[in-house]
Amino acid sequence: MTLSTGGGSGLDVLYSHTASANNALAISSFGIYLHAVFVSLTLGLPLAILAWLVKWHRTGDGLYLKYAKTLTAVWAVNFALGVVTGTVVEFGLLEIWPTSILLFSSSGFVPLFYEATIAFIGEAVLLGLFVLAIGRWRARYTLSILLAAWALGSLSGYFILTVNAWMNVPWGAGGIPKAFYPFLPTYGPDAANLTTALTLAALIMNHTLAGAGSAALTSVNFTQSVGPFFADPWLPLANPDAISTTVHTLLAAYAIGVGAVALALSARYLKTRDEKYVELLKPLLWVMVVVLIAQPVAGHFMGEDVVRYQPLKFTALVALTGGQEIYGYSFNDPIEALFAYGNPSHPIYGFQYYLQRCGALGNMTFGQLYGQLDPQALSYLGPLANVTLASNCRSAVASLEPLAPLVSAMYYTMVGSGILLAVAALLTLFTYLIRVPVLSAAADFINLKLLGPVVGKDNVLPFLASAMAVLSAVAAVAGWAAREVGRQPWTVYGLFTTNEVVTSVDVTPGFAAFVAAVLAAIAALGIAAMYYTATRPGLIDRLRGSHE
Amino acid sequence: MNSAYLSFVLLGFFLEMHLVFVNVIIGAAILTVVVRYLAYRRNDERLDGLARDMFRLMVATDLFAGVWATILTVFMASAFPSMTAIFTRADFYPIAIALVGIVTSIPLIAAYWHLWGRIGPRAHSALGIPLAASVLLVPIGFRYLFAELNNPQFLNPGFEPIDAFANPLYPPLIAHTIIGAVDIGAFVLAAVLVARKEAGLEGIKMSLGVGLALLVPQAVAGGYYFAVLERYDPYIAANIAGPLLGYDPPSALFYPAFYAALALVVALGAVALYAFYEALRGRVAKLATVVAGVLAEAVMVLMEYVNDGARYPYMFVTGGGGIPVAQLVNQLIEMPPATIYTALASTLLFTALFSIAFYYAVVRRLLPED
Repeated sequence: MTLSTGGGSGLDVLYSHTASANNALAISSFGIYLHAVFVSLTLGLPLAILAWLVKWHRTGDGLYLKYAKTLTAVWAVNFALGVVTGTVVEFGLLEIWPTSILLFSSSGFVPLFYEATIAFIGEAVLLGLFVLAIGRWRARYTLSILLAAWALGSLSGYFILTVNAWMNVPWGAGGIPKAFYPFLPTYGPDAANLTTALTLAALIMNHTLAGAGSAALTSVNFTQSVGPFFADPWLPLANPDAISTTVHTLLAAYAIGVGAVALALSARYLKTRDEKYVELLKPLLWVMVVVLIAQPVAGHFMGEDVVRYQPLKFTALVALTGGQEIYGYSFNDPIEALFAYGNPSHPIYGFQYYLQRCGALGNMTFGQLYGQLDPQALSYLGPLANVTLASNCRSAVASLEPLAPLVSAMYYTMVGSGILLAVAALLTLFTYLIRVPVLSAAADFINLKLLGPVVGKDNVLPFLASAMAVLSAVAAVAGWAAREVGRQPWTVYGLFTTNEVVTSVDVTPGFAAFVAAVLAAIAALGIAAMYYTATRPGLIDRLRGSHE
Repeated sequence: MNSAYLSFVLLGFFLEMHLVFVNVIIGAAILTVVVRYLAYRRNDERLDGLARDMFRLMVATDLFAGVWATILTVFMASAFPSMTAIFTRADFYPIAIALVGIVTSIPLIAAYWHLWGRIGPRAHSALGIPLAASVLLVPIGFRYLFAELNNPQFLNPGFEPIDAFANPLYPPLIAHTIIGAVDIGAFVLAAVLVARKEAGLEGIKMSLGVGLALLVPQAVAGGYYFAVLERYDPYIAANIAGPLLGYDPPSALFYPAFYAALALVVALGAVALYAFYEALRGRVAKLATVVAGVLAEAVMVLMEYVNDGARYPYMFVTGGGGIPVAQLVNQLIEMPPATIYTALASTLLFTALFSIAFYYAVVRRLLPED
């Protein structure tokens, strides 16, 4: 195999997806989104149940208990579906992306192990206990179990998102990514051993050139030939991106979960005109409004992490507003610059800027670098030994360019949905939940004078609730796509490319179609099961008391 | 304790915890489908009720077994990254089969439960076939990994993932596994039924009868498995059988456990036979039936300990030697002991909580109304 040492086009084997990688990406994306739907409901439904149980506890109105029980059954079904899809995603990760095993065995060990042994097992047990307890045990016990189960579910989310955050911001990798891509920042302290990282990179690149980087791990001498890699396994828990990603993503999940219930109630109200659905809706609106008003703040911090730690992704995010200028050196976008840098006149860098920064690597080749720092791994480089680091860096930058418009479209869809969500939340808050001079008058005007004639005066509240539900889902789907696609060409930012992670077994279109069909069947049956459960109020009592 | 040994022990512990529940699931699923069919053929309502009880037992343990599967998988990938990578390549297709089993079993369980009494008993009995098949696909797929450990195909020159299906160790292993699972499931079911306030004699009798009847084929499958082990894995065979059968075992940690397990099988047979005899006479031998359930699980735990532990210090065994655990154990990080201890404490706490809830919900079926 020959590799270009100039323009970097020969590095396609690292930076251009193979057909197998594309097929694998398609099925993994489908699986992860499907899992995310169920997980969002699993995280959001307890809040809706909590709101109704508190209302029941305060008012003694059995309507709230009845619906809390029904929703508990839906939650249980949903949790089971989350477990199934989670198993598929977990094994999919190991089976389709075997290099990701490195995450399990290094930076992801503590979060993943704790997720399984503390959060997941605890959530499963407490959910089961809650199903037994609701309506039968004293309210304070029931509520405590519910809160504990919800907290453990959220903790589970934190642990999983910590691993995802490490793939976006490899905290503890220190200056290693910067050594290969000079435009990248330093990622926290130097917890990763430089020699080991170089050996690991050489081994995986070597196998990628030979067909599949993941095959490197299948050597029985793999861990011995690599050696100690990550000195502080706790460090990923303190990754700044893990914190902001967790807050933003969990809030989104709560909004989607509670929003799904709000949407269902709104639909029932519009169909039946039964006021009980509006009564049931109101406690949920409090949850949604609080969550949605907090979201822009959490999102801003997440965005700051992108600007700071994933500069290439940030350029891709603003492709639609920057136009052709993103392919130049720099351009001005006062609004984005204000949010990103706190300075509207700060330039936003285009891809040309990053290509030029790659030039800082000079004419040093991989062979020269390894000769100085890790001579033992020199033999793994093969044809890469003569490739310059600069051409490798340019190939990485160039590989994101075609994806930039897609990433940007997803980003602005999220931003647009987020703005509408905040407006809908404020309109709901000041007209239907609290009264504040001036603000409530303004909200009333918009709701009753502008929206009312369009959707019907009695339909404004269900309309707002439905809008919040749908927009929450749109924002989450688009935002996550921007985050994940924008991570290209890397799976672990600045360290491993997607091609280096995919399985050595060919993921054929037929296999991908089969997996997609199985996932689609789970989705269809899952939705049917939840609908069935949601429309049978006495189901949980029948289950608990069957045959007695 | 070095990290390789600790990791090996922990992997074994998580596997044992998973298998305690999984065997009940497999056994209860198969028995449910069979008893449901018999209920339809004989038009017997009591049998139908028994099938429902079996099904409830399976559903109650299903999710928790899944939780332990997750713990097991995460720890396996963390502690033995290259072994996991070998599995994902060499046993790509068997793992895919197991995954299909997992994802299809849940909707089939839901459909089977929902349609019970809503469609004709013949159609419902027929629905049990894909249900049982989906549950069985999970061990059918994953047991290839154990066969791979004992007789690694990936080391063969020119190995292709499809070759994993040709592992000669697999047929006796899967036969031993499935018969054993149904056997354990039957005894555990009998124990659950007898512990309830209104113990149904018919169900107890049938569960004990199935458990007893399967002890014989299970012993035959065990012998077959041992004979194949002797041929392909003399190292493991020697560790299992020990000096009593003329071997020179490299370790004395396993053959005592093997003979202890055999002794427990004899005790299980005797206790179960007594309980069965009492049931035939219309009496419920409560203690003996519960003891039979506990003994069945204990035998499984000991036998699995012997089966998996006897390969130490090797992970993949090739004849008289193999690839050492120490060569495969993760060296990329040093696993913080605090992580291990807190994780163990947490899993034990929640398992205890689950057991209490399980006892009250499934066994006693009695929850006080507030």
